Amino acid sequence: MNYFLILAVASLSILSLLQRLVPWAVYKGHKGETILTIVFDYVAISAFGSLMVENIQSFTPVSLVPLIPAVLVAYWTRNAGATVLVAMLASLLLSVSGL
Amino acid sequence: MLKLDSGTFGRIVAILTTYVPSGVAYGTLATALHIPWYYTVILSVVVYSGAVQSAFVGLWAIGFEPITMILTAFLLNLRHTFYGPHLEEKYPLMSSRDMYSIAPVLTDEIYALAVSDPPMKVPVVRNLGYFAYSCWVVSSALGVALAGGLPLFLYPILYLALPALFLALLIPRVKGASTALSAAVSISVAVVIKLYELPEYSILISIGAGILAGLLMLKAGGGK
Repeated sequence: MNYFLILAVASLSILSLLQRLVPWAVYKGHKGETILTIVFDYVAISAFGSLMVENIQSFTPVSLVPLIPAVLVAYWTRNAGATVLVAMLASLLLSVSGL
Repeated sequence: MLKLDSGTFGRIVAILTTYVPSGVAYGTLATALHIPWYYTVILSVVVYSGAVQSAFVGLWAIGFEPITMILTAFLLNLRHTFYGPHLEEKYPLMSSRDMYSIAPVLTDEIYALAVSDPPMKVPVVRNLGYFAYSCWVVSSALGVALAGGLPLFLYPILYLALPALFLALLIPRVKGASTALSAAVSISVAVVIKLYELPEYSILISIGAGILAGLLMLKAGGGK
């Protein structure tokens, strides 16, 4: 048994939990007193935009083209599930068609 | 129990189509790097962060260095600092008990779904969080079991789910000049970071740049 690795996993587990909980708990006690209320909308938008790019595996037409119908579905339906399914379906069609 | 209105159903589909492929990919990758199956699954159970777990298996492959691992994990999860407080604003009636039960399962995706319109009831947020957690753990184990067995052409399709989800959550929030600028700046900076293959935690720079651009535009009178 590798105790060093167990310690590392335990440390990561505690760190992950604290980083989710502590800022929230601190904010709960000081609600409405900070500029953060105004900032939140921009945090969400910037996080979504950045995470979208971060999770694209490669910048190729085959990986980006399926996102075009996904944009249209997201705009018209505002349904996350439908958008994801359309993107995956478009990607599958591109793969099957040999592009 | 989750109440299956159309909004909740869409969110369940979003979780299934993002967590299952990601979990399977993580389990497959970890197995390919010769990480024992029990470490792969235990990491999913106790750490529950795709980014940190991927960094862990990546560092395992090149030689484990604990300080680097902890620092990388800290930086990767730093964006979570904003998630809880934002939920607190979005759901002002949330009790401390709700906070303690939701925080451990608060991820990028759950945060994103919870702050998207229409708002959900707090118990639905919590149930969705634990549903996503279950999907992640089970699909990680599935990834270990399936390692090497999935057709190669399926991987790019599975990997597309996450960017599509964040795209779906981003678009409805762009409502005016400052939000559009915020999105454009964060995406542009993120593309540069990606093209230059900077470390994953550099995502904080693109998030910060997007926030700053949006706030500056708002201050200049650009409207939301």
